[in-house]
Amino acid sequence: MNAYAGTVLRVDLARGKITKESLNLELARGYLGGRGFAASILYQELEKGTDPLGPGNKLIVATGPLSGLLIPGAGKTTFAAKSPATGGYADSSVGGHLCAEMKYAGYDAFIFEGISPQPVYLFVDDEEVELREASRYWGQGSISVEKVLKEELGEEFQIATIGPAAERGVVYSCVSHDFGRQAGRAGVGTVMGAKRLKAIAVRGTKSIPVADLDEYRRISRQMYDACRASEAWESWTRLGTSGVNMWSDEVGSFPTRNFQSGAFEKAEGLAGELMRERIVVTDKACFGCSSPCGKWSHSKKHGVRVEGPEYETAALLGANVALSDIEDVAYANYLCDEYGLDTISAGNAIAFAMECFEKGIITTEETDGLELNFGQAKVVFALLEKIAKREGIGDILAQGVKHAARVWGKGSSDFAVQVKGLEMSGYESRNAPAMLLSYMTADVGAHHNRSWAITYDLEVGRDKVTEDKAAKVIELQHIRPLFDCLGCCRLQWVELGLDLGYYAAVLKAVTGVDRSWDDLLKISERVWNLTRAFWVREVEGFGREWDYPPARTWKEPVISGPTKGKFVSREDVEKLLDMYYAQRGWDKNGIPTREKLEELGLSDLVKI
Amino acid sequence: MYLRADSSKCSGCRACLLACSLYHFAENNPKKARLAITPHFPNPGTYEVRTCTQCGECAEVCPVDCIPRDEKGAYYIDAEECIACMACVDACPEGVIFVHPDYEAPFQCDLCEECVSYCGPGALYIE
Amino acid sequence: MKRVKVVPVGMLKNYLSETVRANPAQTVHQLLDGLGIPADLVAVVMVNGRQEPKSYLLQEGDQVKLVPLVGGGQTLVEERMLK
Repeated sequence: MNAYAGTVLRVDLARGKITKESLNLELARGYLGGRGFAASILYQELEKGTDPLGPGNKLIVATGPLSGLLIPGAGKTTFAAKSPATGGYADSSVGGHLCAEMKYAGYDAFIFEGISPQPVYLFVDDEEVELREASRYWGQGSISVEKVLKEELGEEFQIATIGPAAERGVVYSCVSHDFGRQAGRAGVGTVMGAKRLKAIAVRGTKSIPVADLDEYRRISRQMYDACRASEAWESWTRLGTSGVNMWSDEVGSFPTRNFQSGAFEKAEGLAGELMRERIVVTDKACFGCSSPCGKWSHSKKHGVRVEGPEYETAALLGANVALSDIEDVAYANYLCDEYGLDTISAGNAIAFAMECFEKGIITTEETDGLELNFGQAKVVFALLEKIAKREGIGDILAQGVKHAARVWGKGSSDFAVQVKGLEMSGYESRNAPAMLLSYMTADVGAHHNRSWAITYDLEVGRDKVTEDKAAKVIELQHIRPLFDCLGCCRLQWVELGLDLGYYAAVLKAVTGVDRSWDDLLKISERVWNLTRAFWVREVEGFGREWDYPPARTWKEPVISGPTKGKFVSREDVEKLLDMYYAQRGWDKNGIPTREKLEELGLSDLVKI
Repeated sequence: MYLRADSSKCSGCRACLLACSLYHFAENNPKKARLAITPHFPNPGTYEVRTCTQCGECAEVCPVDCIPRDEKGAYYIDAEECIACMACVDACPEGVIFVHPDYEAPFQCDLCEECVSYCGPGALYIE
Repeated sequence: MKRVKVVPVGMLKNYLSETVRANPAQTVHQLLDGLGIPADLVAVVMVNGRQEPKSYLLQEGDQVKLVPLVGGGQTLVEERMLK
């Protein structure tokens, strides 16, 4: 099958059995790949009510049809499972080189089932596939293990690992790859840990077939030329995502002190240019990317090397815990990477504990004697270790802010900044209703990558709560995750302005199947409705209530900065959902209607 | 004419390797490329790019004299004459004569410049 | 006096259609105000290849590039609903 490797590896960890299956043509046609594969497989193969940490959960690692081809940024791998953080659908995309190597080895996806009796890693070298004993790596850090495996197996192997946090069941543990890229969100690493799968190592020497080689090369050439010619190339490549740190602060969207504010008085310490000049060693690209946003840094102050900190980490482990020295943030980033913690959720958890401490909801009795004051780097480092080891207060924070708020009570759930149990990523949204709606409705919980609509709020007016904002969110929720179906990065489109038309054209050239951009968006909408149906099936009583943001949104205005005094009222939250559900063809409770499921070809599969 | 690499500008994306394999073999396969990138992570965190310097050591050690130069001045292995002894592969000081299980004869850079045109950061250039 | 070269990128061309020359001795903020470009939509200000804050005081001969929030990313909602 052109543009696909044609084979899926099914790995039964309980029995140590690996099966090679032909890639299902219907799956490729209906869901493209990546996140589409994951959503379809999880919906069809998981039994209702599966325990996320039990043997019934499956970990899907999926490539897309563009992965590994000469297309800018064709290096995005999807990790997916039922989430131990939320109990619902989870997928998380990681950059780097893994998906390309998987396809060169001849595989479109890996499906991990069951629980291994002892720690193992999956070894894949073209046709040779086996589970290997990994007890000696158990307990070691993500980055350390990757280094050791590269030394043992060879530099050409692409490696994904988990750290000690995942082994111990911290619900927001990530999968790490390429020394500092992560499938970070919603606990896909936790699932890998529960399966006692310490790592995946892949090397391939095969070629990926394409339908029309000349046309593919012609469009590929144009895509690379357009990226390099983009006027935004210089700044994007120099700064990566850290380029927007100062902007986010200027517009009051930089989460500060557990999202109490959107502006941080010491934000200049986290500025992208300062980071570039002070700690960046080299630019670091994902597969095939000619505009590398990855920044490899060296903190002399702490004696560590780390990829980043990128925007989200500067936001959540910087401003949100009130750290203003980029080297302290880099060290916190390093700790998260080595322990295997998601920096976004970890930063939220620590900030939440700090606000609870500030408000007297918890005292040194609950904190193992630590004074949890904002701005204390040593406290942040100590809490990261406690979380990863699940010691004392760390054991509560290891289960996410929603859980911690239940334990500590006293109204703290109002400022446990999460949706569906997933901590919010780095945009304070009380004066950005489209961004707020994006967080409310993202299909993994409060994450920005499905719809980064704050730009739209700023363009058309921040206070407006209007139909076009809901439309924009839906449109972005179809375009952006589509890249995760294609196995390719979206940032060439977002940041460099690469025309979307290229993607439909090159997909046609490599697969030989003619699909319009609208056809592709329809596939993305199908996936979106399927993940929603997964939530409906897996979470008892799922509906509108699960789309609510934390009550701080309407109870408490922003305390400082350019958006001071702003909030989104309860009425506007309801209005946003009403508009969104109606435009999506969902009922008032946010459940896809039969007509919508029929329109998307899901009515046989989904019975809700 | 030489293909040069400024390793300090490389960000390790491997587009050059893929462009190389597409140009020479019409295949998507970086393992069939004629230049090499070795990442050194986590410490110090650099990419090492190696290209053919046209030093000619391969031609010198070839027992059947099948590595002549073409009109651009690039050494090339004449696959018809090659006996696959791999002496050139071992002799190459840069490690940029490559083998792949699909082919008996090794292969090396022919200065086609295809890689240069795909390198975003400009780490590869012709001199 | 050598003037400042100001280059708009991507969607900022909706506000400033082409490269213009401007006076130095004003901040980037003042420059944006004068040109009628909403500062919130300018994500990154590059001056001579370095990122500078909007409080930066422009110098003679500076080359300024104004990079928007979203380099491209204009999508169908803009076309269908904003016209």
